[in-house]
Amino acid sequence: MTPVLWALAGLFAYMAISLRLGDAFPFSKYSMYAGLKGRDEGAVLSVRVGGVETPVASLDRFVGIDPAAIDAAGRPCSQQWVVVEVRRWVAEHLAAEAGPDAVEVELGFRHLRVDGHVLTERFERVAIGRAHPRRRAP
Amino acid sequence: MRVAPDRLARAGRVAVALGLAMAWLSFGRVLDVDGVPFAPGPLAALPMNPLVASVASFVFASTLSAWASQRREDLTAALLVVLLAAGTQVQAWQWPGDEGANGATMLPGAALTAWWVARRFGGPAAVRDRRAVDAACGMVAGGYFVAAASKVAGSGLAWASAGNIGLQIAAQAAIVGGPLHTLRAAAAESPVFCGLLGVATLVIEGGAVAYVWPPARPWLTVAIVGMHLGIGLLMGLHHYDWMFTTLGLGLASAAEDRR
Repeated sequence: MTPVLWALAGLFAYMAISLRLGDAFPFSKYSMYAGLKGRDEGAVLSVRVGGVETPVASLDRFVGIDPAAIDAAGRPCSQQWVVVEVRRWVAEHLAAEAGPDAVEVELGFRHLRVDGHVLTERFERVAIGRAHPRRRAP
Repeated sequence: MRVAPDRLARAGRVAVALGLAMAWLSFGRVLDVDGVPFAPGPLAALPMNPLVASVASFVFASTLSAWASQRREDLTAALLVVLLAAGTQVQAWQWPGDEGANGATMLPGAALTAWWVARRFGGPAAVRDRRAVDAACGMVAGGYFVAAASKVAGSGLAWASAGNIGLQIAAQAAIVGGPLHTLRAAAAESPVFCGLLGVATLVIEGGAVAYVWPPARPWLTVAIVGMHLGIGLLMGLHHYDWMFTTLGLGLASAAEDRR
């Protein structure tokens, strides 16, 4: 019986403290995936160069792009942390002018829907500008 | 062939250590940002750079190695919890608002905290180890149960609907290529498969409350490990910190049952 009592103590302590404090190490309510009901569409952030998906960290010195436009608000996106990371990366790597090696970069959201067992998608652009491929340090 | 309790206990200790190591590695993105720009007041001047991260990681690795080897267990466990707490806070201070919450560290940190508390205050030495494992298993039960409860509270049982799960998998299919894309796209287009996945997730996470009962732990450990592997494969969400912590405690509990 004693093993169960010690385990129950851990269980109730975790439940009580996490529900009371929310996200406070090492307790959490793990609400990040909780509010996903009622969606018929999902949105995934997309960064494209020449129509090809490109990691944002492979680009810097963004020109003509407003980081504030990179926002999941109002869109059925469950990867908000990715959106915030990309927005922060762009905001910290802005440039005033494009160099000769600049490429056109397009940011937007891929809206995915499952219609009658078939996966369909549409692209919603939120920003377009220019950026430069990052060069690795020698 | 029946495995000796000492071997099970060692395997469990190693698995939990792997979980703790992966929780620490989840801080990797801390190096993407200089300093702690969202820390309050004078704390925003604290340095956070590759040098600081390297020193902290060396200390963590050394401490983890000592704990895994059962050297000065109470001290090393406490230090590991402090380091995880500090890393979690640093990461939170690099994000606006509460967007930087890192769930990876929570279950390993909670389990180790409960383990330490039970060893310190759990009575005679002969029963402390048993009680430490049981207290940590209680945290596992609590962590998964709260995760399931949050899903149901936020979305009702509709969280487990085929459409909802299919959308989540489809979003993950969209960002990969090759056979993984093919697998995830096929899964997303099967309402039966997605519905079963959703129900299974809620059943396993909610049913983890039974982890308080030692005879249920082997079965739940297998189910939880399978759930995490499936989530990693289909949804690209890799919570092996939680998985190894649960696996390790399942092994440790089995070792205690056999003593």
